[in-house]
Amino acid sequence: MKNTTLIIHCVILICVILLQAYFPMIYMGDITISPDIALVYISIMAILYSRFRIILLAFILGLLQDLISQVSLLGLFSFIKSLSAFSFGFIKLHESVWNVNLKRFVLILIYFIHFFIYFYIIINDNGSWIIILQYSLLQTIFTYGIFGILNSFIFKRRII
Amino acid sequence: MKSNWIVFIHRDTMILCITLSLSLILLFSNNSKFIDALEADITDSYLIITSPQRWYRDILSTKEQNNLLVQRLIQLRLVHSQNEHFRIENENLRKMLNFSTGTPLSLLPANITNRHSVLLQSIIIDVGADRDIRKNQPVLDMIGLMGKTISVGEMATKVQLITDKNYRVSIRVGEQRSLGIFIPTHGKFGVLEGVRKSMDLNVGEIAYTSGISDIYPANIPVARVISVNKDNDRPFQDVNVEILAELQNFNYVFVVQ
Repeated sequence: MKNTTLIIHCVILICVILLQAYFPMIYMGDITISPDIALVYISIMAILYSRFRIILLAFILGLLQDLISQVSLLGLFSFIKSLSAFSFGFIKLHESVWNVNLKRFVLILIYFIHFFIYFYIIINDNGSWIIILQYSLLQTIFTYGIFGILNSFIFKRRII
Repeated sequence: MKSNWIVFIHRDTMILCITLSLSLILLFSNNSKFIDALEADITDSYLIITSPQRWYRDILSTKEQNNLLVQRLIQLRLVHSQNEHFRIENENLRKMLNFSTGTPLSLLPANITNRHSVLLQSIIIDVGADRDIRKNQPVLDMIGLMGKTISVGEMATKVQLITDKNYRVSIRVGEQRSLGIFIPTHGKFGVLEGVRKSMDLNVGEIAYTSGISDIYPANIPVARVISVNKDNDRPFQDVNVEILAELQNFNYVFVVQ
């Protein structure tokens, strides 16, 4: 990787961290949603570049997120972010095989699984599948919304 | 071509296994000193990153908060005059019964640097070891218990929220002041475990800290009862509660010292 490219990526990474800290919350009654900008960034990077580096990047970003947001489950975000980065890589590996709709479906599915694992672990009320699904779906919709906006307006549909 | 593809897949799988193993090690070694130190450093750094946000939030909300506080002040003055009468009466009664006097709580106000959402199980406040904050100090808002300090940096402190999966607090509830344990479930909801079936509990009653633990002083409001079910095959009733502390749009909290 050239020095200038590396610097650009470092600047983007810092912007992602700042954006995650400053991004406004979405209040929906009792539920507060905050789109996971770090996950959107990881998905874009994993689709555009080599999966090997992105898994490491996802681990580091997840660890930072853990250190800021978690208390008793430190390592949870780094675990699910690494797993998600690996899964996003399949979209790049099947770039010429899968059509756009299938790629979108896989992306949404990975987002959903990411949030589902997270909420399944953090919510104590094991019987409340509806609540876990509700939180996971809302987070997936808003996170995919951010991805869609970036894909359409900044990347001009080059990602998917 | 095929062998290259296999090497590529294997390299990715290998790094995935390494990162997953590291994550699992972290999950199972949360109490190590190294992790504690790292958490404290990251907490301090986060405070610096979000300082402009706190600055503009302070500017924007000052006028609105001032109006609200003036209204609240008038209401509280009226309540205060009533309470003053009760206090004198209570003091006289305590003297008659030889009760010992309790010391009032010392509260240190602190600003919050991040906002609560479903993805956050903790908040970061802008006071740290420099203000004599230590681990395991209770944190309150104006309404009730919010959590406890968990990781203390030089200038900032991480607070474990009452909504965290592993948060537990001993409470007393009802007219008979029955003991129980508050356990969060999801969002602003939780359950009270260990409340005897023989105890009559009504919707709307408040659960207060019991004072049994070393961390929490007694009588801090924790949660409000929203439903009670005695129709189960256990010796205890199912009590669903709603956390009292304001978990949305809060700007500052108080650390009990």
